[in-house]
Amino acid sequence: MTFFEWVRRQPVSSTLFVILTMFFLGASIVSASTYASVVRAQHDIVLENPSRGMNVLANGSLEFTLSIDFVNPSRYPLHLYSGDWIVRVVNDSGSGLSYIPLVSEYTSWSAGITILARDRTTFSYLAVVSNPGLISRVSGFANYSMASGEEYTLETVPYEYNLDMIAFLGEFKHDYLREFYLNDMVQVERTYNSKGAVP
Amino acid sequence: MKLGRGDLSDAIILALMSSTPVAFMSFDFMFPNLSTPSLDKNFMAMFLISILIGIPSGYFSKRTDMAMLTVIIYVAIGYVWANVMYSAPYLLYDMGSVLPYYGLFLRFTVILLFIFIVGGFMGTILGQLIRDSIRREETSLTFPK
Repeated sequence: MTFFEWVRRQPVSSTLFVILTMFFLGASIVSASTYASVVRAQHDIVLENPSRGMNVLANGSLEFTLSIDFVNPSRYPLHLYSGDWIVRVVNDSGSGLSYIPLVSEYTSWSAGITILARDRTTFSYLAVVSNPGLISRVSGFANYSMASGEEYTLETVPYEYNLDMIAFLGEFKHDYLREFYLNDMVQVERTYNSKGAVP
Repeated sequence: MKLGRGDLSDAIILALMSSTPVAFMSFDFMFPNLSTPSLDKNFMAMFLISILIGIPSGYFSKRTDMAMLTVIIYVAIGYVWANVMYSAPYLLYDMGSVLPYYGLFLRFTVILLFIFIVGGFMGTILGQLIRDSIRREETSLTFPK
C-alpha cells in the first residue's frame, strides 16, 4: 500500500501528519526570517552625523559638546544598555602614553532609553569642566607641547572624543550565562572616536 | 525482499515531510533566542518530538527496513535544511563571512543527529504499533464475532 493510498484510507492521520509538517515548516520560515532580520540590523545600524564642539567660557571653564545620530533602520526597537561618553587629552609626546581625563558621562539601561524601529535618535551631550586642577593640566600640556613645536591653546588642544553605545535588539533574550554568542547576536555596539572614522 | 518503486517514492515523500521538524530543531538549538517557538535547548523535548516525527514513517511504511531508512533520510535532509537556514542571511551579503562559523554550527548541533535518529527509530516502532492496532480494530469491526 503506497503513501497516497494511506492518505485516501486514513484521512485523519494523514491530516495530522500534514499539520505537523506545516507547523514546523512555518516555524522554520519565521525563525529564518527573524535571523535574517537580526543579521541585517547588525549591518545597517550606524552612528551618523557626529558634531563636536569645544568652547572656553568667560569664567575659564571648558565646555564640551557632542551630538550624534543613532540610526536604526531595522524592524526592531533598540533598548539602550549603556552609553559611555568620554573626552580626554592624549599625551603621546613622551616615552609613554598618558591621558588627561576631562569628561566621563555614563548612561545606564535604567534610563530606559529606546530607539524606535525605523527611526533615528539624536543624542546630544554637554559637559563643563571647571576643575582648576584639570584645566591647569591641559594648559600644562599645551605649554609642554610648545617645546616640540606645537602651538596649542586651550581651544586647539587635540581633545579626543569617544562614545561607546551598547543596545539590545527588540525583546530577544540576551542574558545567557554560557552561550555568549546568543547575547552577541542581539547586542549592537557602536563606537565613535574623533580620531577614527565613524563606523 | 526487493525494493519496489513505490517503496522508494513513499520513503522520499515521508522523508521530505518529516524533515521540517529536524531542520527547525537543529536551527532552534543554535539560536533559541531567535526562533519561534523555541524549545530552549531542552533535550527531553527534542527527544519526544523526535519520537513524534518518527511515527509517520512507521505508520505509513509497510516495511520496517524502509521505515528506518526513511528516518535516516529525513534526518539527513533536515540537517541540510538547517545548514541552509543558518547561512540564509549571508546569501544576501557575503557567503564567505559565514563559512568560518560552520564549524561552530556543526559542533553545537551534531549530537542532535543521534537524538533524532534514536527517537525516530522509536517513533517508527510506535507508528507500526498504532497501525497494527488500527488494522486489528478495522478487522474486528468488519468481521464481528
